[in-house]
Amino acid sequence: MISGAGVSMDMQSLSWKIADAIKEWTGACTLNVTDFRKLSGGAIQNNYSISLEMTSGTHPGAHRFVVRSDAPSQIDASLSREQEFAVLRCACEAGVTAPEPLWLCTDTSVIGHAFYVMRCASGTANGRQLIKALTREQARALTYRLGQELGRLHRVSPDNARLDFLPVPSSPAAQARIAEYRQALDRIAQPHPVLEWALNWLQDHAPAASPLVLCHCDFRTGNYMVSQGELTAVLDWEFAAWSDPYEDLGWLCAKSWRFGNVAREVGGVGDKPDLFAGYTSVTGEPVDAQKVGYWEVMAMVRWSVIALQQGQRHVSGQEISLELALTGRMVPQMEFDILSQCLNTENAYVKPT
Amino acid sequence: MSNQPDAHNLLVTARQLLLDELVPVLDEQHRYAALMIANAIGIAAREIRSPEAEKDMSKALDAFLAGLGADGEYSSISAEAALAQMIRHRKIPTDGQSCEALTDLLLGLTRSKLRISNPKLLNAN
Repeated sequence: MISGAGVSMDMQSLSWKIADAIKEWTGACTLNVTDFRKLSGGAIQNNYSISLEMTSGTHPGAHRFVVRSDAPSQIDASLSREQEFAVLRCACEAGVTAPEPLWLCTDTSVIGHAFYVMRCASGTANGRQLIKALTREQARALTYRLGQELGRLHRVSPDNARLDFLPVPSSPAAQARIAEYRQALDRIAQPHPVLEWALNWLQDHAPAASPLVLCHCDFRTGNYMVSQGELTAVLDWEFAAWSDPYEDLGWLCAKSWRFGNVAREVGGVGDKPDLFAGYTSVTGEPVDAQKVGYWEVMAMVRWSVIALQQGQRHVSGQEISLELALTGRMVPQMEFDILSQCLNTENAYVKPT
Repeated sequence: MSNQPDAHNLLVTARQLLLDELVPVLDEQHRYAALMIANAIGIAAREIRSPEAEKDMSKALDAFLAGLGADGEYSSISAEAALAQMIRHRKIPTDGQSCEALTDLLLGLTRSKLRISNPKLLNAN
């Protein structure tokens, strides 16, 4: 059942409502739904797959689309579906391989929530499967491609009027993140001296800020689809924000997202020189490897904070889940990686005074 | 109480049965759930054993705070919370020796937590 704004409906009624809306958008003469199912997704939004056949109108023939609607538990940091639709549109226009957003419905009386329809990408986003399946050549090409994708996204700047709903940080992105994570730690009952130390380290070692660009903010293995070694779509845009471009590069390379293949620093898939070459091929700017390393530490602190919040969701009874509980217990692992990386960096260059 | 086999023994034995006899015959989705259960049981088994190393870390933490003259200042909260607050408010001296003592302590604390939550990672490092 989906419910909200006084509307409550089963899957069949939901598929009919969505199909009716698509029929109207496309001007199809006839529309037949051949399959409708809920896809796995987070607590933030509901994802459905809808397969249909249409005659005439703008999209005649058989199609498979993905429908994303708000779910009951909205997270503060995430975008609304309407905002996400606008971000996706800008990303596609910038040449990023994102699922093409097709239609947006902000009328909550239709299915109870705002929703939008986008094209369905082929392939898998499963990190472990992907790492095992790629040949070495495919992995290198994919790594270069990931760099190109980020380079294209980072050409979108805050002067883009269609994204004026995204807040522009008042302080440099690194300082804004440090303040945000300190506030998040204040809301968690258990003390975390290692994370406090890491936040001080991040404050003391902050590199010069790069101009703000549109960042995905969750660009990592597991959030892009690959079919036969080729990237087919970058997914999960709900955390997009104006930030330092190195935040995306650091998140992609952080040790936490290598799915057991630690030696391949780019999401367990490839090596940094290939990623950086792909990025530079689009932006024309060389990548500062030390700055990526700094943002990798930031990424691990962020993931630690998220893991603590997930553990807390289980402990509080808000959502009883062994997966959330175990995520909370992963934090010492991340703390160990943070300490190791910071201390290695300290040994590599003299601490700024 | 001295029940035998004790809680640790029961958990370790149950986990082994799960891994040996159930995991191999489960489909992929259920195998993932079973492996999570095995992981949770493993953590719980190690945690209830409370090895001496944990007590040693607690002593090291108290000694570090005492060395800074902060052992009385934070009597109402745990030593770990006191350490977190002192780091946040930059109350720990920044000379080389103090910095090294602090990072040694933090590494020790983290290693002692990993001995419970993920000893494999420690063995790999």
